[in-house]
Amino acid sequence: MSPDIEAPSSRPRSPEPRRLPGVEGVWAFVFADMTMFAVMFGSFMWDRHRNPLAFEESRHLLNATFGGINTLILLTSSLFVVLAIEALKAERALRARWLFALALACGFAFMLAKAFEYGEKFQAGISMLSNDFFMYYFILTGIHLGHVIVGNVVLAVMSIKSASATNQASSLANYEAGATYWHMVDLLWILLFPILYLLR
Amino acid sequence: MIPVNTTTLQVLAVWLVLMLSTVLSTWGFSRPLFSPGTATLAVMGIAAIKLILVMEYFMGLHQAPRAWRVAGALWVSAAAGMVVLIYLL
Amino acid sequence: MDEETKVLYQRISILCGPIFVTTFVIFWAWMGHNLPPPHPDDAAQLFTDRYVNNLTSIRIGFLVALVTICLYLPWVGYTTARMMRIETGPYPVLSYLQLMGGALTVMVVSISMWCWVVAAQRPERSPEITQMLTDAGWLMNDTVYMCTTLQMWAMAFCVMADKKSKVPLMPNWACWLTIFCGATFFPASLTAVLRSGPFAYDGLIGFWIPYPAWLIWEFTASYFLLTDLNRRVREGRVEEVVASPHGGLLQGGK
Repeated sequence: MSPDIEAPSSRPRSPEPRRLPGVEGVWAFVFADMTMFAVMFGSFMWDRHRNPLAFEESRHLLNATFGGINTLILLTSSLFVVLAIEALKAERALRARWLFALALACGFAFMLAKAFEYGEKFQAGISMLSNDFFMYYFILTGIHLGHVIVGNVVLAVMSIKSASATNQASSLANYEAGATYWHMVDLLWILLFPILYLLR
Repeated sequence: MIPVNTTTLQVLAVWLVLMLSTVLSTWGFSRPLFSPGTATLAVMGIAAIKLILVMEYFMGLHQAPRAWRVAGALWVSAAAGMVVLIYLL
Repeated sequence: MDEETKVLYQRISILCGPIFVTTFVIFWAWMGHNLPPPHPDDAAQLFTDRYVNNLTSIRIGFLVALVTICLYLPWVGYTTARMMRIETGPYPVLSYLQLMGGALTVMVVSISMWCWVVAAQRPERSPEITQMLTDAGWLMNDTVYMCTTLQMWAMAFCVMADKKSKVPLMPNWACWLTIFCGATFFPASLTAVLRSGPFAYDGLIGFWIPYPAWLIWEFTASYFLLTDLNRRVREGRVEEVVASPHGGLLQGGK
């Protein structure tokens, strides 16, 4: 049960008891949140279905490069968080701290790219009120950005706290819960990005 | 110096697959070479695989009790399936 | 006040929660013709028609709901007292936050209904004014939600930090769902800008998710508060700090 057993050399099919990483309640939150997003994706798809030409025309005004790069940024950030949790399990607190900091740097990079992207749209005179496509574009990416901001705070706290982290299961579970949330932010973008930018 | 274990290697491999598939979706299937229908289905298929990979190996569901894994897979199939279904309508 | 009477008032306070939810659904939602809500993008005349055609039902609905919304208050009172048992000491900040948030929630929802009561009082007035009163009522609820969000978050964070109780007041998942329900209110701010689609005040994200989320939370939290009260009574722990020597007397309350 104690997490430090699996750290040194994990045997892939070891008869270790199955364990949900982190905090069960956070998983409940994550599934509720993901369901809320799924509802919004469905709503977008339905409105797109009723007016495909207008949506497609507006989609061409998006820059998929921004979206693609942001996907790469979030995936890399998630990787850092996974490695940070592994470092914590191996009692390498300093290493964990730097990995969390790197993940946070990715989070900032994501926000910066989003700021550029929004700026580009505003310059072109496009806003949430331009049409239905851009209403969804700004609101969905905006709500996601809100999640990123919360996630950055979580990452910052984990980075600061991890220097004094202990390898106790209860302490580790809190870090894993933070990691679960950050991976969800990544996960939502993985679906949000193709729906808004790539569907044609 | 850095202790590399199989878990780390596995995660790095997953990350590499995720990165490459993102590049393929973003800058590959967007080319006019592919018809809109083909490109969309390919992109959504790749997205579904990416979602499963993130859930299983980043979020750690591969070591979680079965019920949680099923819940994760259900969400992925419901969300991605709904998008594809409405697209095909 | 003897212990049995105290427990009686505590129980009544908790039960006010689900009674509030029930009356809210019947009088606010059903009789007040808020299911579905009016469409914000409709012509002004349609707002007047809505009142004129359902005048009695709307008047009774909101007048009764304005009375029963105050059942939220005893519930908040009990919850505050219960939280103070977790957050012991002279600085029960989360308990106070929950108290203020809950009390203000009653005012926000009341002011919203008051706008509609005014609209129904003189339905023959100019349709633009009726339309404005309807809008004002909805935007009161949909943009002034943060008091309620803070109330919910304060309760969740307090219960999650509980190191005293052998059985926590609410399970961990219920605390996190409380946090989620409080967060579903945020997109409702968009109702101030968008008048059609899912983010308008009759939309999926503007109405159909946040309002049920609030009521379902209230119902769920009441269930756990009641379970907790029954457990305390059963174990003879009516006063958490000073153990009551007369625990046996309280079994009557079950």
